[in-house]
Amino acid sequence: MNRREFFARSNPLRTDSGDRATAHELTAFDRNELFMRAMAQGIDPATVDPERLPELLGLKAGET
Amino acid sequence: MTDDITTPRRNFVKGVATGVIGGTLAGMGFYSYTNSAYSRLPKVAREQQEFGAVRSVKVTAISETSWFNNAHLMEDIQKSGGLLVDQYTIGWGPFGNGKGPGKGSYEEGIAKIKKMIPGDLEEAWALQEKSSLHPDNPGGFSTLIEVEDLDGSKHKYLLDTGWSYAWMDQSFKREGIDQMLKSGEIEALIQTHEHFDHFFGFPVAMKYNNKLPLYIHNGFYKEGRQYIVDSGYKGDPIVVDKELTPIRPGMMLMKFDVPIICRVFGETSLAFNVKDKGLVLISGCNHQGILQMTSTAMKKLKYDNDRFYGLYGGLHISPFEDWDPKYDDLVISLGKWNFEKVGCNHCTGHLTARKFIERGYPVVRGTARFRSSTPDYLGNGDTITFG
Repeated sequence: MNRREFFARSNPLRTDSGDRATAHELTAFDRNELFMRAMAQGIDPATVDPERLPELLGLKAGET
Repeated sequence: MTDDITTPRRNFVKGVATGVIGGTLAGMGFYSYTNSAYSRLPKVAREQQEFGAVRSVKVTAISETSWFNNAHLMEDIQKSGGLLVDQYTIGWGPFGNGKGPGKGSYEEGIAKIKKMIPGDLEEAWALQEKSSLHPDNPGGFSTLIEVEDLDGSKHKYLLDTGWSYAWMDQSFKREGIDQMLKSGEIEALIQTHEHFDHFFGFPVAMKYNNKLPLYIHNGFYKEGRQYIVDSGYKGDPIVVDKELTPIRPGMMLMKFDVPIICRVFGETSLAFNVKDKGLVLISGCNHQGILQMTSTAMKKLKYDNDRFYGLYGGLHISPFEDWDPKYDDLVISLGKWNFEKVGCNHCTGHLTARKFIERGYPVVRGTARFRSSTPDYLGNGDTITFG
């Protein structure tokens, strides 16, 4: 894994080009981590557009 | 000086012709009935696995009323510790132990009724009511699915088993499910996920047939797997461990690996390819999210006309009948998929169904019988047919 891949992996909300990725591009791990964080905050993640979930959780890019 | 408002005849005729052609195409549903309608959908690499076709799918809502009082349900969850709390510890029937919210346990709950299930469900439920939170609140979600093959043969499946023993037994008898199970007419039970309102009524199905093929998600916890055994199941569960599991030609089980509220993991949903119509998606509670279900189906499956035709199930948008602006995103997003026929209920929420209708989505209405509380969606005893 090169450096770019590593940092891309650590920030699942950005693609290699730096654009915001769509929900289906998140890996299962990333998505499940977001789901767990949402539930911990009292948000049922299934009721949220997955692309908006990080924003609702108050996460900035790179924090997931 | 006056503006020149005259229009050359040629331009006028061209304008009329354009309007007529455009209007005709719109009237024919040009936009809705061609692939251009999908231009707004996610751009993904599509694998499009072929899985055959069926002639039709008929769905009967045996029970969509999972609970009867939202405030009581939410109160129990909150007092037990919130959305991450283990459902077996909340203190709901049949696993209540009388110690209060969040202090229940599978072992203590099942110990009291193990000898009674599945033979004496009435006594078991009556006993557990004494030590459970809001014992009158449970109902349950369960659905009958009748698939018509291309050769005209019909095949029945039970999707989920509800919650309250008393309510589910009554609902099964109302729709003749008890006899269908006894006779083996129902070919398999698909348990979409482990949640209380879809699964705690499992012994009711076992009362009538404890050997029928059973599909469960591989994310079932040990308590759930033990409950299957303790309920008297004598078969060998088919543990779904692949993203796609064919059930029969034209019928595919899709697996989603997601954490779900009340410490449940994973849900399965069904996809059907209805010949000459398109794809039909059926979910129990859709905890993976409606957008994930649709985008996964589009990516993974090949279906007639490359078109989303029908949708049924709990769509999980406003399950607790509160409304938050963020739910509007899902309501609006669902419109992108251009479903021709939408049957919804249960955790979709009344408010969401009303929003669907206001936006002009083709929602099939219900009859609000048997304690279902709105005709805005398909209620208990209502049916919808795709194909």
